Parts: sequence; C-alpha cells; structure tokens
Amino acid sequence: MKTFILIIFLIVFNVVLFTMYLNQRNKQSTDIEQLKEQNKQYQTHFDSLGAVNNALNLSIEAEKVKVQILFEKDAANIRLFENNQDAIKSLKTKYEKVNRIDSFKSNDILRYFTDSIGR
Amino acid sequence: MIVLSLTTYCAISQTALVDSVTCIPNSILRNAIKQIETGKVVKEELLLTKKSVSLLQNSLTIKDSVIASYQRSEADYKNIYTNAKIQMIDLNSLIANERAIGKIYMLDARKQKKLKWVYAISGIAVGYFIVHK
Repeated sequence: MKTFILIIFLIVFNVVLFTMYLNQRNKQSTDIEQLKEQNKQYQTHFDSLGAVNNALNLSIEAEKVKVQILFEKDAANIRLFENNQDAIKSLKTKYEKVNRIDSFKSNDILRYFTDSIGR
Repeated sequence: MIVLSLTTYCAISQTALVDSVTCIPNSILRNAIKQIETGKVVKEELLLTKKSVSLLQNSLTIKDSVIASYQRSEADYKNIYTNAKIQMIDLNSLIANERAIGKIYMLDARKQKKLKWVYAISGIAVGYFIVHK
C-alpha cells in the first residue's frame, strides 16, 4: 500500500514537473519566436536602409559625373573668355591706328572718305 | 586777273541739292574721321565686353550648378550617414536579441541538466522503495 502511494506520488510529482517543464518550454519557445520575429523585422529594416544607401551612393556618383561635365563646360567657357579678353587687348592697336589720323594729309582724308564712306 | 584765275576758292552752295560740295577744314575732317574710327573700335569693344559679361554670367551659372550639385551630394551623404547610424542600431538590437535567445537556451539547458538529476534521484528512490517493500 505504501509502495503504491509512493508510486502514485512519484507519478503525480513527475506529471506536475513535466507539465511545468512543458509550460516553461512553451513560454521560452514563444519568447524565442518573438525575438526571431523581431530580428527578421530589424533585418528587413537594415536591408531596406542598405538599399536606400545604395541608391543614394548611385545618386552621388551621378552628381559627380554632372559636376565633371560642368567643370568641362566651365573650362571651355574660361577659354572663350580668355580669347575674348585677348581680342579686347588687341583693340589697343586699333586705337593706336586711330591716333595716327591726326597726321592725315588732305590726300589721306580724301582717300578715307572715298574708300570708306563714299563708295 | 592771272592771280585771280590761279586761285581756288571754296564756296558753300545754298541752292544745289544733289552732289553739292562743302568745304570743311582738314582739322575738322580729321576729327570727324577720328570720331568715326573711334566709334567703330568702341562698338567692337562694346560687343566684346558684352560677350565677356555673357561668358561671366554663364560661368556664374555653371558655378551655381556645381554648388547645387555639391549640396545634393552633401544631403545624400547626410542621409547615408543617418541610415548607417540606424543600421547600427538595428544591428545592436539584432545582437541583443540573439544574446537573449542564447540566454534562454542556456537557461533551458541548465534546467534540463537539473531535471536530469531530479529524474535520476526519483528513479532510484522508486526503485529503492519497490525493491524494499
């Protein structure tokens, strides 16, 4: 009888223990699942940000190309401007020629009007 | 008479309308030519100056475009930096979660270890009582 009670007690004890173990295990599994789910979300967020960063990097590269083209345009513009400045400097000789008009004789004046304006 | 016939006189005609002759002193004509020629050169200079101004304006526009492009790049860099920071936070959270999972597994393993002894002692106790009673 005593043995029987002991066996029953042990069976009940084991059942209770096993149930506690199962509950605990279920709880832990749920926690782990939740944490794994959270990790998935973090990973998805991480990946999406990575994709955005890649797009931004591409945009930066495109801007670099644009800037390069603009610099080339600027260099061409500067060359044109320098040529223009040279042309302005070359006007000095024309102004000097104008000063020579002071020494024009009658013939020169006549030639000027007949050549430049008269015809 | 001879003297008079050899001398040329300039006269301003008041009646003739076409191809009339006007006598103007050379100094005035020189001045006129000078002004005409100066005008031509000044016109050329003005055109070149206008072209220079236009080129400078163009240069300014190009520089503005370069600045705008750099600003866009800077904004992109800032966004990348912000995203990287958020990614770092995400990674830290991932690591924390992995550690939490590891901790749970560790606790579970410890419990299993303890349960192993509980089952062993229970088994021995049951066996002992069954044998002696």
